[in-house]
Amino acid sequence: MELKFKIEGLDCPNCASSLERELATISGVKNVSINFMNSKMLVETENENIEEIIENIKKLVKDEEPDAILTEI
Amino acid sequence: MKKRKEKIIISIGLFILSLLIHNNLIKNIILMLSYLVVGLDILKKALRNIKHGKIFDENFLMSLATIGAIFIGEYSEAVFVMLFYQIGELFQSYAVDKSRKRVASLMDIRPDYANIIKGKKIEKVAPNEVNIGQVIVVKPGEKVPLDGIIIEGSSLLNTVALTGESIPRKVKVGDEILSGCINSDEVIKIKVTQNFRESTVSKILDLVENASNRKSKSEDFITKFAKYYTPVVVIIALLLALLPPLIIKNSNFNEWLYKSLSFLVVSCPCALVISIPLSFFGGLGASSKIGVLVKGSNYLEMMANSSIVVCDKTGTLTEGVFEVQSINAINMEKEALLKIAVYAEYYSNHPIAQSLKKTYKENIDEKSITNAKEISGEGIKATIDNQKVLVGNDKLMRNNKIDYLKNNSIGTVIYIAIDNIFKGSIVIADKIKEDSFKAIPKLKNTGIKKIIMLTGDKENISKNIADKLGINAYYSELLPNEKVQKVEELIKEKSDKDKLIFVGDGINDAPVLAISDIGISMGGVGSDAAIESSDIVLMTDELSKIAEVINISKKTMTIVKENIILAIAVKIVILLLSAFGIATMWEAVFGDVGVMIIAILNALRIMKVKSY
Repeated sequence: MELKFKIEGLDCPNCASSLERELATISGVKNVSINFMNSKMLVETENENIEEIIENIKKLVKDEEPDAILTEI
Repeated sequence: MKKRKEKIIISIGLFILSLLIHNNLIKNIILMLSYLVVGLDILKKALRNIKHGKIFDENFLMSLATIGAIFIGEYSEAVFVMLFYQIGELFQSYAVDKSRKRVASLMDIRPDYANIIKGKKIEKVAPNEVNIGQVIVVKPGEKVPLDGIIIEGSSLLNTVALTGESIPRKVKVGDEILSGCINSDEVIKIKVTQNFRESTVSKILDLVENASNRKSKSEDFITKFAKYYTPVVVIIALLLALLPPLIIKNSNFNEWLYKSLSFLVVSCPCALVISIPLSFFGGLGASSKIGVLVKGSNYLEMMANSSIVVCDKTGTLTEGVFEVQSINAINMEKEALLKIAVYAEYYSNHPIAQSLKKTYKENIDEKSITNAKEISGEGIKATIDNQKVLVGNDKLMRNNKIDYLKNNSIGTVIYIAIDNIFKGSIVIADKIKEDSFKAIPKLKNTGIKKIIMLTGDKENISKNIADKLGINAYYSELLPNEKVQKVEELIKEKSDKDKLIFVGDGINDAPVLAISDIGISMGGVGSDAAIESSDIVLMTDELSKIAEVINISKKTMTIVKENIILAIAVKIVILLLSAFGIATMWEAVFGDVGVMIIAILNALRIMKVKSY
């Protein structure tokens, strides 16, 4: 499954790529791609436990980048 | 951002004030104030990040470097480093913001509302509330909110945001129009044919907004570099602070600590990283400005290395519309011959019949046509004004034992006989697009080595077009699966570095588009197949846009390379100079932020170029 998010408030592409690496370690997440310039995040996931995966993504973003605003689109 | 600006100004003010004061205690207090005003946010963030174990975080590194400077009594250094770092950050967010806005304004096609007709009143509603079949009114100056067909009025449409074409297009009743155009002349009424989600404007916006999700190799390289760069520099800094004082006798600990702090100042990778995605973003923006949608920065990057262009013929190099090229009448008027042919073909849906009808401007008297009969693979037999008419290919002539004059013109030849007497022939051919003549030399100028045409059409027609356009090679009479095989062969033959572009109309050639390095579809705005199966979408029908995008790509890559080399070189030089004690922390931060600003300004140049 592919989840789309809008992610605003990241400082730089470097922060974005380190966040990418962190998010990829969440179980059920196959691939993460953050586009810093477009403020978009695409997450490829397994088809099960979507709710739980989304919860974990939100939690991790909040921990790692407290200033970032994440919204599902 | 505004708050950051204010803090920087206050901090600079305090810093200048400190220069005027000679009392050391007061001077240092003012400097500390200046430091806190500009650096408190960074310190806070650093603390927060340590809790999460992020020690290579830029906030932490900056905090460590400046606290270290305060520790060895270099107060003004601490202020200066923090101040400059913040100025750099401010500039960076300003640049990012500005180019985001600029690209957004290029693609300002999102309609805000639609005027739907309800009884006698016109009501403004959100575009996604309009259903297929409903009638909407588009006033002058308004964006067309949904795809549809004009049912009343005629006007001029400005399609510049969609296609990059600045000359307005005339539209009238019966014309299909695409959402995202701006009505620039008269009020028109449109019957909606697509709901908002499926409308062209939504598809384009979706494509543009999700572009560059596929990252380029340069971006991957720089993020990987940054991943190792920071820890390596920090470890060297640590060693620099600890080892020499232990090994070298009588060495000054503070002196080596100072050197290691300079290392920390340069250890932040952000300056290095920001200009690369910014450059690609600019390149993608510049492309959409000329009506070309590129689906990811990786494709823009590959375009610079493209060396083979494989084109489909019909609809790509040619108009894809058959037109009457010549009428050769024997013992009768040309118009009269055309009239007979048109009358005979009147009930036929064949493309040839369509093109004949388009050429004939007079009204058609249906009553005079009796007994029209289509003979598959040959032509048409009909009775027109009580004359027996035969219109078709040479097979039809031979089978009816007509003594006809063979016409060897390039194209499709239609022979006409009346009451078994040969009356002449009409030649119909697909026309080469005006733009194709310009595009081929333009492509060669960009460094394309081979231009190859693939077509299902006949040998002589293909040769004629290839010769006229100056195309290197062509393969004719290919079936769709043979086109795929041909492209596979071409991909095998070429080196990995040379990229192969395939251009087609995007409708029948999805498999070929998929196997090419870069698949480009043209004129397919509004077609799902074209947008989905290709990597780059040309919103106009012009092949020459490919040459322009190659130029944008080359420009982008030059800037990307300049920035990578400049940033890495300057960092290394600063590190060396600091290690040998030649550069101070002042120079370190100045050089580091300076190079970032130069790299960003360099990246912003891409969108400023007027024409490619």
